[in-house]
Amino acid sequence: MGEQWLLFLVDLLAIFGIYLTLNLSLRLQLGYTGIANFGLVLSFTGGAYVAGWLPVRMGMRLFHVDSSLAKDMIWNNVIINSQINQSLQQNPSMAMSILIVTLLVAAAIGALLGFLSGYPAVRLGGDYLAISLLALGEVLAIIGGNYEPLVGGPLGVQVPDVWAWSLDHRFAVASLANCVMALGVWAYLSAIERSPMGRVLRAVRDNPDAAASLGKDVTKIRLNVLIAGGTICSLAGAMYAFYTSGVAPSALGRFDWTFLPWVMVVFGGSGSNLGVLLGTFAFITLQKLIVSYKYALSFLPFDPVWLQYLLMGLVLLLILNFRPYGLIREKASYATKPNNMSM
Amino acid sequence: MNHLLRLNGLNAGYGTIHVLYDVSLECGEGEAIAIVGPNGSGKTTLLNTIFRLADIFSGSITFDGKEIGHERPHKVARNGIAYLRQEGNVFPSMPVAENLKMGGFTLPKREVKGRIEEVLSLVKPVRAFFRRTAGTLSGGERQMVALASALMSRPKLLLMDEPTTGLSPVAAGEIAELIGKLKGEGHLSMLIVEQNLKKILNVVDCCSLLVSGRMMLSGKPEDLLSRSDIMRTYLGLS
Amino acid sequence: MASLIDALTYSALLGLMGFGLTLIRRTTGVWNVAHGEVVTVGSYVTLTLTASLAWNPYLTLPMAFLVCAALSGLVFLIGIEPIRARGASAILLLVVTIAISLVLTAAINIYSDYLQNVFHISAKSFLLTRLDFYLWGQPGILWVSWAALAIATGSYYIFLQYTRTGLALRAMVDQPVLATVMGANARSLSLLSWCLAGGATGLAGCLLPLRFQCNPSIGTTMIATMFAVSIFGGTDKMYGPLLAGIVLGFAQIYGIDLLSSWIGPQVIPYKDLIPMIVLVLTLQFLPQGLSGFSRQRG
Repeated sequence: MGEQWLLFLVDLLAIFGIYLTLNLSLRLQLGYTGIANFGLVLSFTGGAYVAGWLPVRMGMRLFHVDSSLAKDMIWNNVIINSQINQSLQQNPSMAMSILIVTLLVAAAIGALLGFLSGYPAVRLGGDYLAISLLALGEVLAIIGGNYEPLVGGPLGVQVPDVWAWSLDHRFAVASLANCVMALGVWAYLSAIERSPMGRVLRAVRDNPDAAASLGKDVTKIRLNVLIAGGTICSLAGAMYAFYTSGVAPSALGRFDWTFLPWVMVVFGGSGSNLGVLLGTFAFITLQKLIVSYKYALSFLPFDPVWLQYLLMGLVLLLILNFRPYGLIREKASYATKPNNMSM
Repeated sequence: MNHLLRLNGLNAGYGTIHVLYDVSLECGEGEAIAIVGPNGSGKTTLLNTIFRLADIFSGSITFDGKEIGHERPHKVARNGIAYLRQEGNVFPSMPVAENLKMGGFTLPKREVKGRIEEVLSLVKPVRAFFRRTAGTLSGGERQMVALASALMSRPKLLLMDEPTTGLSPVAAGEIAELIGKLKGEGHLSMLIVEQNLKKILNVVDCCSLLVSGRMMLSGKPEDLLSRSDIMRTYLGLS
Repeated sequence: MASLIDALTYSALLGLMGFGLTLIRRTTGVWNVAHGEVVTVGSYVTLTLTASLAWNPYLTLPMAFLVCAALSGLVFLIGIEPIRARGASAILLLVVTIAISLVLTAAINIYSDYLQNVFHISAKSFLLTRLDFYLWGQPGILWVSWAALAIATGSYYIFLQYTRTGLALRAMVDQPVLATVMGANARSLSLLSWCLAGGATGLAGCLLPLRFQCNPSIGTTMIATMFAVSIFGGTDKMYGPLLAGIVLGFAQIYGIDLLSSWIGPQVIPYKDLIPMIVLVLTLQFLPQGLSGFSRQRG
């Protein structure tokens, strides 16, 4: 019984790390700069796709896997992966190299996606930008779900287990790595908060016209934030793929990877890292509990996953109505006060 | 004299911003009152409050014997009050004809056409651009349309926010003349916010000075003008 | 030939959906993400009535209109208006509509699960073409969808131009405060426009299963396209979404058909990328959309 709980906690922590990273990215974009990014799923998926495409090919070269299998990477995916994983077990340094390289590529892809998805509407700002990001967020899902050679179509592919070398502690190690990533992003955000850049971002958020009149290129700043945000989301996506050892386009939907982060951040408050932390923790726990007790709810004539949707929607509505700042408010900065009822 | 409009101890503002402090004012039937004061003193807020476009913290507004402080903005018009705002006082995308029709929104449908004719004979210049889109008109022409629209509903009280500001001297003169004509007819009460007291001197019966949200003094315009210390301090005039 | 019918039908339905979305945007300044779910609700009204009461699907049009109008109105009154009255920003309202979309998605799925598991109606994926009639050699859906579009937009035009309430609505869109001081009840007018928008979109949702495969997330997957229609059409004039619906509908179905005959059938699954491309191009080069174009030049 104790072991079950331990596994539950480790898994919780792993997903927590992923979501915290994602949510901090949202905080950077929404909380700092006032960009309502409803397309987080795009960069997240990008990172996951990189993890679905690159490591297996790297592994094949590095471990001299039978190259005849490369003729159909998707069909032979399972065989290739099992061979690579066997080698990865003995080769922690190779495994970490694959991880690092993948993360670097994922970061680059994320930056690119952030830029491309934001560019068309960044000058329009506000809700036009939000809608545009929402719509464009679907692009990778359409491509990935239909173009098989990429990540195997809707069913997806396996991903080499870069944590295989830790054997029995695989989940704990992977979980830890996710949290380290989240911590890194946390530190990055804190650094920005204290820096002059932080003030510039807040100015762009609260009063873009004033910021522009003071010589700040608002468009460029927003694009940079979108690029940075995309990079972070992409890293989270890649780490998620590594954690689950797989990539499946059908599981990378906007409910889980855009809307849920939004609920968490709005609930906890986009004004502080701590708020984001609390919001993330609260909803991850809630979600995990619902999933775990799914069978207890099987008396319902419908799939309990819809309870999740219902709950998230209602919680979001309640917060927006009564406490749009979320649980923890932003510390009022020196010059500007957050607008009542604005985001 | 029967007071048509009475503001009693009005405290008002926007959300948490307190603009008007304990403002009291009375306007009788057929009376024209000017509200003067420096910029930012709350003159527009005063007019806005009558239409509940600002929040009332305390105090009362009575019109024609009826307490209207709790009414929703769109209901206020039905009591017989019209508002000529300083900005956004015409519908730029609609032709003048429709602007007038909208002005008569509170009238029974069958009376609108006839009333348009009446208003056109009151504000003669508007007939010339009756078919044009309001957004294509000059400032002075727009103000005429705005005034005509405001008159459509047969108001007992007309609120005017700086009706001549920003207009060319000729246009300003025409508007002032119209206001004088309306005053002359005797049944329309007016509350006019105006920066420049001298412009509407001949029209108004009484003048109230609003400074930083407080009513400083009221009296006949000539009396106010003779107080050169006030003129200089608050109105920048000598 | 089949794809031409598909394209025409799809265009008409897209036009109706875009019309609803644009109407809400124009009158209340809200981009309503939950509008996708209104489409789905419309299709489920049809399914429910045809499967349980054996109604002819076209008879369900008025019901779909009423249900979706009521739903949309309810969403406005309960979800939108309270926080809009307190001065919420456009983005905050957008997030509210997303929250509502989540709730509606849950409700729709629960309902369809219920239909499927309890009443054994195939509610997870349905197509009602077999219930269609034929007129002049073509499926009835073709004629009805265009008739619905024509009637909806025509009557809306008449309402706007020739009735007092329509005048007040136009006034409210142009100068909301001025309209209010002249006696127009902005809240009632906004509610009315949400109801009309919901109803028009409900008609589209109702007709959708007569030609296209429907499922509980049909509306949710279409919302991105609906936004493309709205933005490409421009929110300046109400004929915008109509034009855009035609262009996009044709591009998506007929265009991809042509493309696949040149390049090969592998391009077909990517037809959903076409609205994205149009959206990006519009935002880059024509942000005011088709109906705003004349304003820029004039």
